[in-house]
Amino acid sequence: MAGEAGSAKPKAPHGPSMGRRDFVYAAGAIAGLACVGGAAKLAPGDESLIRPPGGGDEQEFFARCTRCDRCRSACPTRVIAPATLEDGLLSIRSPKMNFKLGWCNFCGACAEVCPTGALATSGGARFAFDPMPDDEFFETSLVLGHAVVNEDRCIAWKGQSACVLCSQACPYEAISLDEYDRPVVDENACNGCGVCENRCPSSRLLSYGGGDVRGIEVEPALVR
Amino acid sequence: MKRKIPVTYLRVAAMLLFFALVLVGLATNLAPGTPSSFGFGSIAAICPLGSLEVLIASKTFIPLAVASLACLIIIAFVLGKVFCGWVCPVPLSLLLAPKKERELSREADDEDGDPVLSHPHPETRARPRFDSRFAVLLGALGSTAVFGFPVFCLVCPIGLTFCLVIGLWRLIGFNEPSWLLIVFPLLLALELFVFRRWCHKICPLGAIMSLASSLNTRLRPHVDRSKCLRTTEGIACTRCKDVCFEEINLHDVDHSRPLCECTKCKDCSSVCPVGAISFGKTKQPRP
Repeated sequence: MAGEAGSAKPKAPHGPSMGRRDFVYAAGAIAGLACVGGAAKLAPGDESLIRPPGGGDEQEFFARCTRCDRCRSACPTRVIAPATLEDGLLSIRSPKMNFKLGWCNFCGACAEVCPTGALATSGGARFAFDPMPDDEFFETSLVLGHAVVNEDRCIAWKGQSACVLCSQACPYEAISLDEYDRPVVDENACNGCGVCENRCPSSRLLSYGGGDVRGIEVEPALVR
Repeated sequence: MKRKIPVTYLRVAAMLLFFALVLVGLATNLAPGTPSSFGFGSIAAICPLGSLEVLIASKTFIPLAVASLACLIIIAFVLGKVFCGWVCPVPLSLLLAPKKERELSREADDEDGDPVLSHPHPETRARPRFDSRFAVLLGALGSTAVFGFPVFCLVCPIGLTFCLVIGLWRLIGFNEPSWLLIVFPLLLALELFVFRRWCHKICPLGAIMSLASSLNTRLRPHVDRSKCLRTTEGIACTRCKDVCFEEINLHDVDHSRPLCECTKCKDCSSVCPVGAISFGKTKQPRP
């Protein structure tokens, strides 16, 4: 490793050069870093994680993210959560979207406070989108993922009750109703903002059946 | 001397300031950040090691990372290695450790030298020794280049500490339990108490701080020969040396770490029985 090469030729402006004890500390720490780096790369962890807008390119995202927690704090809907150990070693402390807590309106607050451009459009530039007529959501070219209807959890698909909350909530007109008033997602219009997953009441209404999977959930875009 | 307690309190208060900042970030949308990066709006300072790592990993020019490194150099020029003594929470945990542990962790170096002010530090710039911290720094930068992401950030005890604060908040406020809350304290304990000599032997951030602090010649501990017991009474007093966390011996440059390691904690001036040590621009000893 690069570090080993550096430690082999110590410069000593004052006093003795690196002693044996120092060498043991350095070699141990560098070996530890190599193990952590390798383990993080080999065990990718949860691949269903969705990053805040502009963090879609995982390689670019991890190269820049210093895990400083500013984007999570800045988010007005509080959809950004800190990833934990369960999300994979590589992702610890990094931001992830939790649509059960909020949704993304593409306001750009997270990208504005991101100091390293980990959340940015591909050119590394901060994005700023125009607000839509409702003034709550923003026009966007970014895609976080795509909403997918879980037909065994959606109460409209299960035929338990009429429910149109997701299609009503969708500001990008990506959810239409089929002939039986069941929600159907238009993948080309959906950008994964997650407001449908946030509003979906199925995990509450079906709570006696167990599980917290909702009737509609955002899955990451296939191209990474 | 009654000044010791206030200075220690001030340092602890300065260290706790960042915990307060993180709590503000958890309770509001102001996004003040953590020591990894803190600021207001689109203006932020990034941890110098993090800056170097993201510059290497992304292979692109990141303006705030470069600006943060420039800020570090200016701060180090004026104040030296103050981060380690006044901001970093790691010495705080060592401060809380039983005193015996701290003494044990010291390498044996009991040569007191002559009971006179025989070999004072020169007033020129002090360059840090190339110790294991610098090798770890090269390892941290090298592993970042190899793996393409800031590897050291995953194990940084400063990052782990604030991650724990955030994790506890998420546990209480959002019912998000995680193994992290058990694994990270164990890792922190391993880093700080099993290795014990984290600050002196491993911390690559400290290596950067020491290197930058070699620019500092202004704010330094200065021994007044007309007061020091060693020069006035010939008493082999070593209290300033004994108290120094950074193992600086103001009276013997040959048995001392270089002055660029001084964190301006002022323990030495607090503990001096005759108040002979002052901080400020190095002055010629008064006649």
